[in-house]
Amino acid sequence: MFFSSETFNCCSLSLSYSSPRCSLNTMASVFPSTITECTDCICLACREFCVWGHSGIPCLGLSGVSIDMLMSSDKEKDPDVIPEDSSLLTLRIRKKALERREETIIVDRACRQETLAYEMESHAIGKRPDNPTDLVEEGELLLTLNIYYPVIFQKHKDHKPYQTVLVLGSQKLTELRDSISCVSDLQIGGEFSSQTDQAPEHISKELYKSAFFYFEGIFYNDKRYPECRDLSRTIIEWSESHDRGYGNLQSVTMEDYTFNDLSLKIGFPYLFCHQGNCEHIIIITDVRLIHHDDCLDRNLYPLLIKKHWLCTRKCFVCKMYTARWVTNKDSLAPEDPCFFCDVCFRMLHYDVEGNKLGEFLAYPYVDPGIFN
Amino acid sequence: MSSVPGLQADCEELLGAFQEADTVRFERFAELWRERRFHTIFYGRIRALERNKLTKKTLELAQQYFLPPYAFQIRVGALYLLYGLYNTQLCQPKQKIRIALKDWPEIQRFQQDLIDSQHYDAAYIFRTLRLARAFHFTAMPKLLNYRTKKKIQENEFKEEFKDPSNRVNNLITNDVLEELMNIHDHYQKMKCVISADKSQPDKALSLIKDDFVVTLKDITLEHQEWQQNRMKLFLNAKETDEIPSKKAEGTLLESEGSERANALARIKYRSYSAVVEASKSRRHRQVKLESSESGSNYGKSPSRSKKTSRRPQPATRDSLEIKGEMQVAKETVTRHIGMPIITEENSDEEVPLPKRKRRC
Repeated sequence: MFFSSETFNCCSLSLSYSSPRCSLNTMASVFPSTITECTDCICLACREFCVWGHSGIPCLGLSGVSIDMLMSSDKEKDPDVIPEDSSLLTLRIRKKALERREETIIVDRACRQETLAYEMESHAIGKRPDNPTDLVEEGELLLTLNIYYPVIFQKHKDHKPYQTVLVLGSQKLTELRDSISCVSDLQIGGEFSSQTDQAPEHISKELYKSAFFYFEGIFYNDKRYPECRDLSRTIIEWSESHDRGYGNLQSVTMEDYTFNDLSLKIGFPYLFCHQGNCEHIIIITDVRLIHHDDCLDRNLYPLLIKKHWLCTRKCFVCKMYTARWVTNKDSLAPEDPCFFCDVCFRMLHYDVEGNKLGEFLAYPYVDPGIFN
Repeated sequence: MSSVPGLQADCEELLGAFQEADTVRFERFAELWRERRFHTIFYGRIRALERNKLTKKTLELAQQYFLPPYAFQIRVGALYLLYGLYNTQLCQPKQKIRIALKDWPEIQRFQQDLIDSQHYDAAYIFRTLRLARAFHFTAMPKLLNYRTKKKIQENEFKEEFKDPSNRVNNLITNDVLEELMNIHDHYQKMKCVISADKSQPDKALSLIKDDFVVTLKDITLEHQEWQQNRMKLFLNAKETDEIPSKKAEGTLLESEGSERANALARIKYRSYSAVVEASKSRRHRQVKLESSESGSNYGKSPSRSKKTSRRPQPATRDSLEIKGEMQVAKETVTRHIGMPIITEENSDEEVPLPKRKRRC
């Protein structure tokens, strides 16, 4: 009804082809990721293209089925210039948008956020490892995860900040856990107004090492260190205490599992919890086979390809440096809480000898934008 | 922006032209492509990040036409379109075409069909794409994108691209008809056997039409022909000018629907174009006919009826209340509807309001 069943004649020379049959089965299994080129069935006529198919179908090179047929004879000069007389609606709309942009924007250049985003996306494309043992094999799965951060600022309620990470299927869950950088890991607890120089070096990451992932009813707990605790125990006990409608929740160790062992839903929110109460939502957006153009260096995975940008809070005094201290109930500060960089903090609150001036409570502050 | 503006129209236009050409040869497609200079679709001063996104969306859109339920010709056209878009894209490294796991057997079958029907150019192009590693083999067809959408866009694809879903034919197949015929004959024979006259069944036993199987077959054929005619008419209607095609379409396809709609519109217009003259007590407030642009002035009618129903009540209290209160009553009524425009806008409307409240 819709197509004519004329036989396709390769070329007007009407040669009879007696080329050897190609014995290669190119589509052997579902999703072969490589197709080996057959070298021994070259078309006898043109010597260029492979005779292909099991019945010795002649090559099509002579008929010129190639990409040249799709390019117009007059080479379009500049891809930046939209041709005047275009019949395509897309181009007409785009032209109007471009003209509007030219009118309103004074300097039309990529801002640094855009440059950063593009760099992050494309910096690892095509990379190959120095050590051949680190090469990612074909048939490996590549997962794209979005890791969402807890809402600190009100404006994030609608668009939560998130990072996008690529992981290989054969990687362990612990590798992903190590790659998640959250500002709550760097917090230093304690009030240090009286002893500013003695702010301890221990950040929360080292004090509280427990963490778990929650996928499909199973809690994967980090048990690599002796001080790690099973954070999920509370939740499991809670769900078992009454008939809450949650099925069997289990608890296993994180380091025994790789992503290939899991069965996951795409687009479904899962959980990562660390520091006891810092929770991140994890959503898997894509699962696909590894491709020739991807980064094939195993050491670079989990690979960060998209990062959110947070504005850092600057010191109230100099407005130049990122805040390192925050004060409460400060008689010397105009607002509560008030943020200071190290230098301004010491200059304002302490005299030359280091005595505390005025009443205040001071805490070391780690800005969320520290990972920018 | 979740879709490239104008892209769907352009692709559909190209595929539509290819469908009308009634062939699956690549040369024909290439001609159409060159006519429109489709490779310029990526042109324009676009920066790298934006260009990647744009190309991804373009390939995603074109890829949708490659899968069922589209007609065979459209699918071949989509394959050519993907080939063209993949090769003429400006991104470096090239953006890939996504194929989902569930679609892969279907695509393999499609390729086998192409080879079996000797459409070697299409099969060759598919193979070229595979050799060029143009595909990402994914679990799900669409890459997820987490933004709160203001409006859920319904993807409406053209009806004529789709294979006409022949449900009637799927139900009444040749086998079914044959079986029905057999059963019918058997039934007739049984009736003859048990009736007095062996050559034909008793009159009392004639409960069904004798030739119902033949009638059923005729009806099915008629339905199929009608469907084909309808498709052809639809396609033809698109070709000719807008006005005549509208007429043709209007008369054939939408005659019943539009008649009723016209009748309703006429009735509405007649009833709302007349404006009731306000009574003497309210002569300072004449209703002015304001025609809204959307063409629906139905708001007038309820407000009018409300005014008429309220009239007796304020009339009885007329002697007791001041006029301002009636104004208020009317004001509240009309404000509630919100549509008719009252010519007089008193600035001291607020004063009667508190008075009314105090009384109640």
